[in-house]
Amino acid sequence: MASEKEKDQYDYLFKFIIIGDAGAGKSCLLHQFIENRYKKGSSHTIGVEFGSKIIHVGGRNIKLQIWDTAGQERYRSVTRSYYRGAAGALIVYDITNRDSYNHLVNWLQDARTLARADTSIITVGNKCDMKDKRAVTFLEASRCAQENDILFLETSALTGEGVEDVFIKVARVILNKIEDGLIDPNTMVSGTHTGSQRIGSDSGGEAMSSKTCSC
Amino acid sequence: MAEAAEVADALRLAKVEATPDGRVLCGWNAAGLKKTGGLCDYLLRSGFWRVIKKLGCIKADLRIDISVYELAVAKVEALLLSLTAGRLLRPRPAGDEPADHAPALPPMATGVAVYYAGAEGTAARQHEAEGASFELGPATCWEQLSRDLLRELASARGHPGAVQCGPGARGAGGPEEVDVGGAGAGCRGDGCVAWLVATDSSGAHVDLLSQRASPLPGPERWPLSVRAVPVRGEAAPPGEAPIEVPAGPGAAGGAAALGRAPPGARWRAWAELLGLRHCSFPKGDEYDRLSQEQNQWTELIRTDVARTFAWLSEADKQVLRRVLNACAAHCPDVGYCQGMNLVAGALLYASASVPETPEEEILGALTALLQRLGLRGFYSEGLPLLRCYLEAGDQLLRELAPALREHLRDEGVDVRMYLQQWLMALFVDCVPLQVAAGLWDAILLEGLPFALRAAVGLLRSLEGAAALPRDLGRPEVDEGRGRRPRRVEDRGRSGRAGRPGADPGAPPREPLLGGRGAVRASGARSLRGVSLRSPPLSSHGEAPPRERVHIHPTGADASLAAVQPPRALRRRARTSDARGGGSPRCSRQRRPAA
Repeated sequence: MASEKEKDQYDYLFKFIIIGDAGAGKSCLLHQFIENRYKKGSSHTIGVEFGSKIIHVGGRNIKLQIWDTAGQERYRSVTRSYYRGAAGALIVYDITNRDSYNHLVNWLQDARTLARADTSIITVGNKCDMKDKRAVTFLEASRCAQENDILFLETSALTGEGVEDVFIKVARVILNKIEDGLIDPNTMVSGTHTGSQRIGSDSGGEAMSSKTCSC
Repeated sequence: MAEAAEVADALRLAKVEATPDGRVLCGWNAAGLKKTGGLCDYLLRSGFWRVIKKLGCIKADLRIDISVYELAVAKVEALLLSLTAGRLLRPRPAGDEPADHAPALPPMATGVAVYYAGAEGTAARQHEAEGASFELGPATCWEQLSRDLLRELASARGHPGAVQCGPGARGAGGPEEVDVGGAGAGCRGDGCVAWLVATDSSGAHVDLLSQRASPLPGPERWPLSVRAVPVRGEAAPPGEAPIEVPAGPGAAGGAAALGRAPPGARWRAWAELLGLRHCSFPKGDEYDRLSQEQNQWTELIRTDVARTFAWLSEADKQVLRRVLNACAAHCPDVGYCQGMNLVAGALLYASASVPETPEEEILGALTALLQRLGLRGFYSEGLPLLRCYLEAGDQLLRELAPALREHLRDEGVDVRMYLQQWLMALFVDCVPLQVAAGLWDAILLEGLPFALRAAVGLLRSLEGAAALPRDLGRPEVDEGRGRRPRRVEDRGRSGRAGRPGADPGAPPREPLLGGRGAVRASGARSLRGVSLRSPPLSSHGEAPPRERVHIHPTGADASLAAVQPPRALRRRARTSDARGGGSPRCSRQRRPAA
């Protein structure tokens, strides 16, 4: 038990959501991040899937609780309920698919309205290994991100390029916000938690998150 | 890793048996769907388990027994009905049915499955005895049909009169007796028998629906074979020794090998259950046009088909793409929703057992699933029915597996996550395809609510596991068998008491599906004498000394059910007071053949 606990120790728990059009590579991105390899033969996501990993950022252990959502528009009515309280949001598009990029604004709006106004958002141009089929330039996407005041990175879930950076980058931003006092880690709605706390997906009664930090 | 045979045993779905005295008992044995180690290993690899494992609340080698018949039909359906006010469960709008098809089918979602026939106590009587509020109409129908079919079988095999049905009938026995084994089926509202496979005494297998009296390949050539205890033997007077059960499904050694569905039977069964003959769907040129024509879903379908079932061949994927494309065009109110590709893929898989099934037929089946079974409610815009189901599932768990639900919530997991995946894909890609196919049998037979029962049953089987992990000091004690005690008072109120045998003073739980409960009631009892049950766990909610745990004898019960439903059914039929079902009146000693 003790060893399990040690392994599980973390200072903060951040809830992330991954959103974006169907087929953009959200699940593969998550899989690559968690397992450090490409997920072959993966199917589409139905509803939501879930993964978690502890990363080390800025001298802190941060547990990321990541909700990977289904991309199809029709699923939004059910996936939206998982946005709530997310401290970080990854909006993924496929650099070879112009449409998925065009829909960024919709996803952005969803994230801002449903997760939390100050959710740290990054837009992720996935499949950057397929450069010959590129339909969205780095510059264009980067500008768009700047205009919308969100982060931006390109990744390849296939090769792993940039994948970890995405998560670390967002986690760092959130951590900074905490350290600057912009986010109170003890508030449930912020989507962050101090160690040993768990996020209940929709139990409002957990706002009384305690201050028990396990370290 | 368990033997394939064990898995196969767990998957045995239907059964028709002749008793030594010549009566014939047919059992839809989905209750026998149980998990042994092997199956659990599969489950551990499926998405659901992956997530739970990640949460660290389940040990990798935990063994779990699952019975999907955990929930009373009436309860689930009543709940669903209350949530949907009966509207959404109606699978097709009035007037959707061809005029020449009479009588009109009742909505499949509230249809009735009958699990046995030909026994002394009719299905109707059984249901009455349980006080369950079922529609009883089709029961008679099926009973009659199955008798006729069995008679026909006997006669086709040159044993006229060997199969005798009905009260008091005693067979001639001896070499003339037809030992009917194999897979049975039920009816839907209009009494259509789906499939019926029998094994006669010469070991030949007969598919009564399509290849009457033509022997099919023996079980060794069927995809999965299972073993069962032979039913022959001397009948002892009733009310005697408990049944001797071989320890574990794999141990029914030397027993007659009974097969699962022979090739093609399942597809034909599904086609029947879905009423494909009566459905109108695009064929020929119209199909070709719809399958090729670009529509707003074509692109997504292409994307999804490419990532559906890694083992599908390129040609199969093209079929899948065409079928889905045609379906999206044919049912514009549904279009295409992710999940349909898995369902269609499962249909493709099942249809492959019948050579040269036209693609149109797969489309027809898919359309029927949407329109008649009611799946459209899962897929159409806003996912209306799905949301009802999720809500219902959550409510059911709150009542039936509160510990599990709490535990998952503590871990930040909403049970609806799983329910959604399971329901939208109808278990395809969530459990091994063979298991999913078995669940489909039952869903098609019983209607869509079965999916919810199965899902909740699966989840509920984890309840014992939820009490085990690390930081959960559950106050309740496990009654010495690794499960939290049931809230007997609650369950009693809802007509279901604690587990049979758990508390001799409490009434046995209400049999869920007529005879099935009886099977269980006697099962738990008779199992006491044998070491099928795993050793008790330590009390006070502590983790067991070893990580390998058998959670409660549900599975043992189920295994018993798998082995011998007819016996218990018979006992039940003889027992005037169903509530006295706890005492084993089973008579004959049952031994595995050498």
